[in-house]
Amino acid sequence: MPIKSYKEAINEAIAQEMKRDENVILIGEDVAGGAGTNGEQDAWGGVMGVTKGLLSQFGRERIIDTPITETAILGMASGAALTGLRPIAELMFVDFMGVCFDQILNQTAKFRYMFGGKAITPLTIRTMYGGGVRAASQHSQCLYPIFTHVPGIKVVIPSGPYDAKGLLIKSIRDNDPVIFLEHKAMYDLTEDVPDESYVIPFGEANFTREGKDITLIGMGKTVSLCNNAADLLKKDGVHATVLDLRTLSPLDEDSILESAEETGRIIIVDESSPRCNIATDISALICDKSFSYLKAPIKMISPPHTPVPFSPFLEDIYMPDEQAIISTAKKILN
Amino acid sequence: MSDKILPITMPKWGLTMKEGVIVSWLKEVGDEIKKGDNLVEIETEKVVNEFESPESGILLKKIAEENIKLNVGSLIGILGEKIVDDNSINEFVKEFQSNFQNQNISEEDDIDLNKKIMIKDLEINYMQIGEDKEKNILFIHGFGGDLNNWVFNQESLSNTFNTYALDLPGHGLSHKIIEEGSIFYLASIVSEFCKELSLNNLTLVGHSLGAGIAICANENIQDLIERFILISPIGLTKEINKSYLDNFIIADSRRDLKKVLEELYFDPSVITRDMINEVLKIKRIDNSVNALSLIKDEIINEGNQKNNYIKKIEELEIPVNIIIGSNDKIIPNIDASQLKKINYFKLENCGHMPHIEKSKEVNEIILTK
Repeated sequence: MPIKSYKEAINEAIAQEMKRDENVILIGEDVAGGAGTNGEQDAWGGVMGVTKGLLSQFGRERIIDTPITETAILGMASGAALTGLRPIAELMFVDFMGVCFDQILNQTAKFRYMFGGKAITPLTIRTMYGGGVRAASQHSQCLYPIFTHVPGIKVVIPSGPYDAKGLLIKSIRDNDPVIFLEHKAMYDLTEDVPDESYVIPFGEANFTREGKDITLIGMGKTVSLCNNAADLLKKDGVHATVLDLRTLSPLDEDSILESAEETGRIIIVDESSPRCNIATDISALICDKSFSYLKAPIKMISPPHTPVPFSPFLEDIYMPDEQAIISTAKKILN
Repeated sequence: MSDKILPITMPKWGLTMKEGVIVSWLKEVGDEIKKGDNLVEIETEKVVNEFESPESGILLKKIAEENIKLNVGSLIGILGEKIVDDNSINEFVKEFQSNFQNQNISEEDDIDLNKKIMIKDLEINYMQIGEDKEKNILFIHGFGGDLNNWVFNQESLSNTFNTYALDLPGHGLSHKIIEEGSIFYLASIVSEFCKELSLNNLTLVGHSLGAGIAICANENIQDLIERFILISPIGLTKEINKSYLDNFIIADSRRDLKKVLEELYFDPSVITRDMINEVLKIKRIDNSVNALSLIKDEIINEGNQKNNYIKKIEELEIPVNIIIGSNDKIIPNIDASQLKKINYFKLENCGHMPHIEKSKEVNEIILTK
């Protein structure tokens, strides 16, 4: 099977869906910009070049550049979705959601419900999240718990190239608004990815490691932290299961509870701020439904409750890492 | 007797295997091991299976602990012709490990052995292992399977044959959009494939649906085929487990598919989560489920098998070996006395997948019968 990067997998998913369905369009900042400038054949393809190459394939009618206004991007995309297109909107950094949140929270998320199921909003919002790349407080947040909190939005957070392609195709074909979260430190991660189109269903978590002693639950980039920690723990004779949530809404409660009941020891690794995040949510779920199986307190590994620091020294301390997982695991195993 | 020490290393089952986990040791230190004895149980990302000792001797030391993932080629244990002192053992281990580290670095590059060929406008994926042998062997998987089903057979037999395994249309990494699902149509693809690659002196091995396809392909490529190995073939009985095929098509979650796949085996514990994920990966590719539905309608009619191949098989003028599992939950065992002129092997404690569950026996039959 061909090896592709996270970035390439996303690009391929969009290209294949645009070929398959002429109603799929792409809206964002610099998705068509840069074309023909010095040294550039095609457009820049967004700030990270993820959609590079699409403009020359699909043209300016379907690859639509916008001014720097998230309100316009999301307003335009929601309206287009409501009137029959299947737009993919690129919100450059999830940190900018404040500017367009009413479009998402009060409009897009509510249409289906408020029109009694007669309206559909097949909108995919691709956005970048996450820290660790020295981009400071306004370009490093996670914020996915906020979207997960809102009924009517599906929240997708792929942990690698294979999942990114299958989940993005599913997002585009889905008839509800989907927030698709790409960690900016993951774009060059590579993996086997089929050339053909395929769909990974929402609400199916994925077991990436199997072990009987402890369950590490991750999402997006923290899945690779959990995998690394599990591999290191194995050297000390600790066998960890790693569960990749894949989608936060809908949430695969069955797999979480199944694994919690198997191991009785849980660590949830969530890069978002610690109050009211995914870790607290899953912890509550396990306490409610599988309490009697627990052999130790549920542990949550998240950053401190502060903005993401710009100081490299502080940011490194801020970010959850493998060592934190390993030492926490050893604590609750003793 | 010499005090020769022999390394036992993590086997490579199939070309994609990179690492394995010792699930359990089946022998103790000091035990006399005969070549072919089951030594350890190994879990790979595809399946759990028993590993037979490649040599005879006394088990001197277990190197690999249970439940630890090891790279292919890693030292898992040591055999000796007689008991030797600990120093010699440690010396041997040390030397092996230092060589192994070096080897690892040079083996970094990954070779993808999947090849594609255009047959009747369809892209067909196949894998070839072994070349320049006089005899060819082609493996045809069953309904919903793919060429990876032959992971315990293809490489093992590549010392004797040029081995080929293909993905049928609608399956594996072959083209997923098919016009029709009839056995004859699929057989025409297989026979074109054999002609295209000039597979003469051919042993045609088919499993389940693949066995039916092999028989139907015969008409077009009689001059190429030397003999047939039919494993759990369709077309011998009227009965078939229809709900297996229906549920296989419907199942889209890991949980549902696990229940379905368990029906294939005598011992369902061979199924790993990764194995289920591999099947789901293929099933989730666009048009794959459509193709399976088309093919299913050509296998089953009103709950029974649509085709009967007993007459066709009896008319064949070349050797036919039929291998079945005694506990097949997909296709019931046929009364062997109904089959004339045919070598019939019934493997005990075995379900619908003898080539996986009883790979050693199946390979033996292919090599010697």
